[in-house]
Amino acid sequence: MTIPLVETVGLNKFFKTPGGMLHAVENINLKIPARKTLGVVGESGCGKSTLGRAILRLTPVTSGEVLFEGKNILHYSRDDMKHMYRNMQMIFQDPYSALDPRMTLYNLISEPIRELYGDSLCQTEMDERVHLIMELCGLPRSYANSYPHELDGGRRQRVGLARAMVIEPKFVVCDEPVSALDVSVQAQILNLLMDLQEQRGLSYMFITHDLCVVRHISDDIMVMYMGQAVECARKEELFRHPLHPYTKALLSAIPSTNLSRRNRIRYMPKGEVSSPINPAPGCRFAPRCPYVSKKCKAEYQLKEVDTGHYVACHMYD
Amino acid sequence: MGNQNRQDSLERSTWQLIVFRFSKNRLAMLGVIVLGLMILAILLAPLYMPYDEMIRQNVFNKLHPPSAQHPLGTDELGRDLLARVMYGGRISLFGGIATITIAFVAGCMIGGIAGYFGGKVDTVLMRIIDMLMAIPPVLMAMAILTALGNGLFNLIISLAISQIPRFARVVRSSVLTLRGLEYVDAARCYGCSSFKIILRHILPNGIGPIVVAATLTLGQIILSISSMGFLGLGVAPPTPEWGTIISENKLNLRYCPYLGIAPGICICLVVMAVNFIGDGLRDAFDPKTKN
Repeated sequence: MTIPLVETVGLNKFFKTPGGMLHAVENINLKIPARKTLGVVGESGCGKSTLGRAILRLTPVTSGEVLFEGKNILHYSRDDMKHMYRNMQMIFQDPYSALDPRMTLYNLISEPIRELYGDSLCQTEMDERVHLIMELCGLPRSYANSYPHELDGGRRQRVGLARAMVIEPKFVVCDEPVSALDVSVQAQILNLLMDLQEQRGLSYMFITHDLCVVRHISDDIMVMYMGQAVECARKEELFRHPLHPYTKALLSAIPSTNLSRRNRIRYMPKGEVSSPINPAPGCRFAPRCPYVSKKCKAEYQLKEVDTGHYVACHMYD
Repeated sequence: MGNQNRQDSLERSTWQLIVFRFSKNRLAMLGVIVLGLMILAILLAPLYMPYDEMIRQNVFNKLHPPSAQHPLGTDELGRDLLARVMYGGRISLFGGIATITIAFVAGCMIGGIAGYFGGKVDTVLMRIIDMLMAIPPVLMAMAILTALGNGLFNLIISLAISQIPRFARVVRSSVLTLRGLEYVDAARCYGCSSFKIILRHILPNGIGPIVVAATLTLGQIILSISSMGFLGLGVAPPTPEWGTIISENKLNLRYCPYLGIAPGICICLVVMAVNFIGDGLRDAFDPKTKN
């Protein structure tokens, strides 16, 4: 078996709060092969962004491992990490706060090269790379001297993309890159991301709460609930045979324009998300689950119930 | 080669743009002209105004109204007021600017570090700042000056220390709002060190309110220098300095108002000019300003 490009082993991220430990990310084991996209879905506050930030070491991890090409990067020194960032980058959610308003597009896009490669590139090479990536991302060359506030949201997000892509990383964490954009622009950005993936053999970890988006772009999907992975499968498999009650509820919440599906059964979880501070052991979804039983109080792990289809639920023991 | 040139012009154009925006700001340019003329007049004073003129007393000629020989009149000891104002400007203007610069740089560093790193660093630094803030600035400057010993340099240091808390507070609060923004994360994602992030991404974006605070404080510093002089600390008579000139003439102000007006106008002009320049700089650094 080949080594996955990015892998996490028992990744935990807890925040200390006055009320106790907030379990933002708990025991996440994921594998992202080269050239593939892992979609991470879940509702707001389920820890998906924290997971992405933890993988890039933007936030310190409580315990666990993050492996890049089989090497644990959590013990890397600052200098080693700087090397590592040539391979992994991030695209941010808010195109308005992700770009320094005082820098021109040229400076914004060339800064990663200057930081990570120093003076090893001459000015001509740098110019070429910046202009090439601007072109690839659909930004006219004439924008090089513009400031971010002169662009609309979609173009700003293209700049964010160009900045992440200019150093030709192998892995990019996309933290809800389209959720701040309107639908027509969303499609443009998603297609751009997929084109870049094809051309450059990128891997993505695509964080989103939008199931249609994740269906469009992902190869594998991981569903998170309160910091834990509840189900993980190939995209087609997950949409065809959702197993975990939470996944079923999520999928049945996708609005449909098909009249014949009007009276389909809706899985509506009851109640609200419980507090992630010092959660009780066992299934986090149990208090809201329509199929709850005594077994749900026990600890459980993701289990492979079908080839490549993992689910964390006692119903499938 | 063509690329090289284009890039050069690109790099330069950012600065050119700032200079251009600044030069378009009429008030700011007025400030530059006024301040420039005053600095020139003060620096060139020895050329047209011998130093003796300023300390030479002539009691027969005291409280002389403005005349051709004494353009601003004379004070109660018969000393030429124009000479005193010009030589006094050296201490008031340059001392004031030096004080502000030191307080500004130190305050930016302390506030920047406290705001960016947060946690224990923030708590420790800010409690120290709170302690400094609890003491009235003039009192603290007096205490420091007494400990360091009298002298212009020590006066500048002590006044600067007494002003650091105000800058540190302002800087910290703007850093706090900026460090949570995603472009700071993005910068960390391509390996920027914390120092670089503060210097390149956070301070330039938070500089506006800090520059305004600095320019507004300058007037206060000039007055502080004189109140320290009044208390016999820092600059001692007969060395003139704008605040001191006003305070030593205050008994005669009722009959000879020109004694207070000249140094007063000087303080006013400097504060106003620096204020305009500060506003202009803030706008020039902000690319969102229309040009």
